[in-house]
Amino acid sequence: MFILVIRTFFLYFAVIFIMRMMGKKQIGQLEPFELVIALMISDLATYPMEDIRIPLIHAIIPIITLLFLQVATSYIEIKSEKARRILTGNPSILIKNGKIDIAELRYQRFNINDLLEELRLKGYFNLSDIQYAILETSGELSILPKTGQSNATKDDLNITITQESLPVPLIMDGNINYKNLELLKKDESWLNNILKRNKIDLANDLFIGMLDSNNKFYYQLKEGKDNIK
Amino acid sequence: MKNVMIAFTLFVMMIVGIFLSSNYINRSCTHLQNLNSTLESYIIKEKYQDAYNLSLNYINEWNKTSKFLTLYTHHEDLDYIDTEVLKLTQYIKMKDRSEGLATVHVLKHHINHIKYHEKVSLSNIF
Repeated sequence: MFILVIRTFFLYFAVIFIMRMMGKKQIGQLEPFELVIALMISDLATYPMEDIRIPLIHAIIPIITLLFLQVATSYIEIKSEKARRILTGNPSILIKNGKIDIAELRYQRFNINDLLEELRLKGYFNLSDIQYAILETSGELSILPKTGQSNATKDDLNITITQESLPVPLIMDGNINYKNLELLKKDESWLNNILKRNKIDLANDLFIGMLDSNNKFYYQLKEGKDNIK
Repeated sequence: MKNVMIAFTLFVMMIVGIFLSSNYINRSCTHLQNLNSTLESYIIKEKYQDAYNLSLNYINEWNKTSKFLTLYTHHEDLDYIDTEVLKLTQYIKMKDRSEGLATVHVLKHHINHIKYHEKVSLSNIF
């Protein structure tokens, strides 16, 4: 029985390692060949996990081979346009210049209800609001609304703004993040001054303390210390 | 790029490992098959004492080889051989010619089966 636990541990970390090697895209939007590989890996890892008669190597070898194939395929896709077209296909334009391309819709086996549903999910209830709708290779629908229907931006409204920066967490669960302090070219005494200004005795009292995108110090005290400031 | 290199290195290491292991399996199986043939000839010639000594030697050899084979071969295949080897010693001890010969034959088949599974052949692929 204990062997099952050890084997599961081993396979779990092996699969995590392999998935990490395959890149971040694997977790989110999967291309067709990536989906196939993800399904295969999960299946390959399960059998030896539950059957101790199967040597672990019988799962590891195909998993490493799949990793190699996935990485090699992705690499070839980066290098060759033709390979990219064959392996992941091309995005399909379902609505072009405000008009549904019925032939393309049929070719993609996408019925009108699917299209309307996808549009609704994207927040567009009227077909007349859409200028372009493109079915991406990952199966996602991207939409370009008609100019009059798109959201007004700050540029449209001529509002002068300063560029926001990335928020930087400085204290997490009471621990000072020295790496981020270094990134801001600040030191601990600078942080202590900020804490003093906010009437906080110790960094350890904070659940989170960060410089937000407007360079303001935002913090929340740990449970039982105080309320959110 | 780092991931590409790691994946490629892992794959190359794996292929080299498979090549070396397949060679080891082949060598071990050939050695065991030679022992099987000798055992068979002893039983045919009714040299039961020699056959018994060799069968004990066979058990030792098998125990050493099977430890390594468990890494690559389905354990069920190895379990069959474990059982047959144990039977064989007793058949020889009791001078049971027909059962002894039949067991050696089964052993030969099982060892061949392991060796055959490692072969790159169309029938193994499809």
